[in-house]
Amino acid sequence: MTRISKACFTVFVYGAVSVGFPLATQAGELTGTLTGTLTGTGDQPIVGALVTAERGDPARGVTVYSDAAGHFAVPGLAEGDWQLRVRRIGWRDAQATVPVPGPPVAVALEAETDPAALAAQLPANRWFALFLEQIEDPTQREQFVRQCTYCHQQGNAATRVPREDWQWEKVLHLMARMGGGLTPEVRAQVPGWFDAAYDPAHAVPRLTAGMGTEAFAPPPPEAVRRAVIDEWVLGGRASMQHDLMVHPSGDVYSVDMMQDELFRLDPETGETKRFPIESDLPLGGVFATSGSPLQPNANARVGPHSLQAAPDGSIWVTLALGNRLGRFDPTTEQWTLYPMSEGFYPHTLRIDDRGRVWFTIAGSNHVARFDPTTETFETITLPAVSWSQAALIRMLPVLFWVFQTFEIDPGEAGEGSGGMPVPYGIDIALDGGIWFSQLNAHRIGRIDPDTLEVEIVETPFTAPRRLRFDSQGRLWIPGFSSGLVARFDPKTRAFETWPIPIEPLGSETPYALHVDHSNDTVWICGTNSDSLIRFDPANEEFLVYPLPTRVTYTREIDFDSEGRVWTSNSNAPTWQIERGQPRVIRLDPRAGFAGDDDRVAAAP
Amino acid sequence: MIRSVAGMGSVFGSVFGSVFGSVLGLGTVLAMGVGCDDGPPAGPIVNPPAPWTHERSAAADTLIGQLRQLPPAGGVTVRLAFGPESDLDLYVTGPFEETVYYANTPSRIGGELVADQRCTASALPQATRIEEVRFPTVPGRYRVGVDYPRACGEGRDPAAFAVRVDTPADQLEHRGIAVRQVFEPIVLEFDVASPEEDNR
Repeated sequence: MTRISKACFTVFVYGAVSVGFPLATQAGELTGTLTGTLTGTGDQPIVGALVTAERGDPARGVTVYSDAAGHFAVPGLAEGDWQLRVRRIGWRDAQATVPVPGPPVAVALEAETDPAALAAQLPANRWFALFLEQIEDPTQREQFVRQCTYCHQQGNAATRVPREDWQWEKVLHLMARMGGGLTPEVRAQVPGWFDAAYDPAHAVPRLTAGMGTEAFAPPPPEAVRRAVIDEWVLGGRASMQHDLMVHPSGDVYSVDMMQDELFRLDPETGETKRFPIESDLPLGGVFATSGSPLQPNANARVGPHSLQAAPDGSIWVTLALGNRLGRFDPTTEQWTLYPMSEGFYPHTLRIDDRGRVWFTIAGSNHVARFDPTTETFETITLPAVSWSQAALIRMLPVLFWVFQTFEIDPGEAGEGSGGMPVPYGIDIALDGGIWFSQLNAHRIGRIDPDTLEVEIVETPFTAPRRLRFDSQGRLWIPGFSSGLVARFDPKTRAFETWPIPIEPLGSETPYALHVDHSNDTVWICGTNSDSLIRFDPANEEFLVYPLPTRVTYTREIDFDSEGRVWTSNSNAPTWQIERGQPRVIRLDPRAGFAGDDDRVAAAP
Repeated sequence: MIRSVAGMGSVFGSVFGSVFGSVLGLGTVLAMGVGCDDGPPAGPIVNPPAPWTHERSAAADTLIGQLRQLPPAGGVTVRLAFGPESDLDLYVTGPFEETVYYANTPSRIGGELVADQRCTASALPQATRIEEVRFPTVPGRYRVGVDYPRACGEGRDPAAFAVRVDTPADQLEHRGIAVRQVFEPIVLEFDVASPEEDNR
């Protein structure tokens, strides 16, 4: 064996054996496989490590998990040098440059013996659980989770830094202006909770109890370890890929909410193209002077937010900051924008069989329908929680003006009596009914597509967010602040719920889910735990897929024709993400099933 | 993400029925009077920029003059000067799109908020307030933003401010007017050349 690296780990090349390399016939063809073996102390195999091969600018990476024998096989690599990174909680990251094609590599990992460094390897939710322990009142705890985790993770390295009192005062004031409103009682206690939870003297021993034992960080099960994860860096360092979708053409489209661009990615070639959305609105769009600050590195005037493909292949996008609906024609690559005459902050959209676009309007408590044939909007007012809230919503435009004219400070205000309803997720039932959630009101509802009559259903859990139907017409709902997944049967009006088994329970904040209609498995965003979560209702089993990039905050899920799961990392601000770049992510859960010769051949 | 609207919702949900009831009552009357009927409200209002006046212009000139008296601190230095009537905040985004401000300091490339100013009781009533962010000399594009989160006294008028940038090769100045509760993301953008470019 030949030692080829002396960086922070040891890589050996098996001299004569070369297995598992369907060689590329042309430079750049994605057919090579990088294979190898991971060992730890005493040559023990490292099971369930995330093994990533990455290269290029913008980078593209492929990640697999090591198997029970510590073997791995990273498929689909073009010829040339790749950066190899091996990551496993409890062990120090290992990195080296390796050639493809090339002989199998052997990586000897070093155990992480520094408790602080080990704790730093853990996903945000593990730290956040310590914070949640500080909050005795469950109502206050729920409020914090719902209000303070919807742009970024809580508990990641960027959010647990110590702050002085004056910094806390400014941070909480700023967050309130950006929408993270807390009651004065909660707000007053936040600095103390942070200090108590994240003090290393307290947190590190708690988080590293049992370090060095197998139980400390058990590997994912074999079914998870079959998966292959692809990541593409998309956009710049100030980009924020809020949502993505798989187009019927096979291309993947993603909206960059901070840079006003639509991206197209061809997964086969890796080719990307960006389509700017032009607007004469100021930075910040119609909210430029409303009091809510734009991110400091953003160039957003319209803020593309959610997107879906219509039956004719066109792509419709809600332009949240611009108060517009956008249509992109993939053939002509041209945009058409439709200014809304009513409501503000168009949010999540879905398209019915007739090509009509239905979308929630988060700011003004509406759902709207846009008919492309007549180019007209129909806006439906949703019920508020109370008459006073309804009055407030009705007054909001004027209050935007009042806000500029009179001394009302949003940073000093709190969540009030329940906050605003905030219509959020939306989906269309088999019978054509339009179902939506009201995040802060803790309820869902149905709109009759013909009469536009609205029915409201209280949820037995908090913060229903982005919901989806399965193939049988049952509605699946993530409970964002309740850490669960729910199924609602519109026929019986019955709810069933399952806690999401991210440990510690309650530390996960599932932002969105989607149902693979080929088998009705439910895929859930592990938004605060750098994971994707699969739930099989048939046997009520969860599988948790750890993702390779720390601070992976996900908000939407889609599937391609081969059952692969797509999402995007949209933590805001982007600089909190490991290496500071947004990525779109594809997880192939079946890559290791029969037929994957590369992986089978990987075993030496 | 629900940004602004949730923020506004928080505000109005909190203040409804409070001491601002009379203001909101006025808003209700106006809302009913602007043709809402049974429909939802129209969108938010984008206000025009605050106008320059002789007083604001003179104040900004004074602030610029005070910044000119400060020696360069080395590397890339950005200073924001403003009067005692307001609490402005300086945001400087570096070449790798990470912003240095009171909640994110230092940045990965070493940008740091050196001085922050606030509405504190100990502040001298007439003192100019100067905030400062420093970066090591890293080539690339920089962006300077200014936020006006709150007034320090009873007044809420727009506030004059001045920004001065010192780089190894250049000095830049900007005069502006900040409006309370409005963040101006770009008051100034500038490029720092690499040493190779400077030598050409």
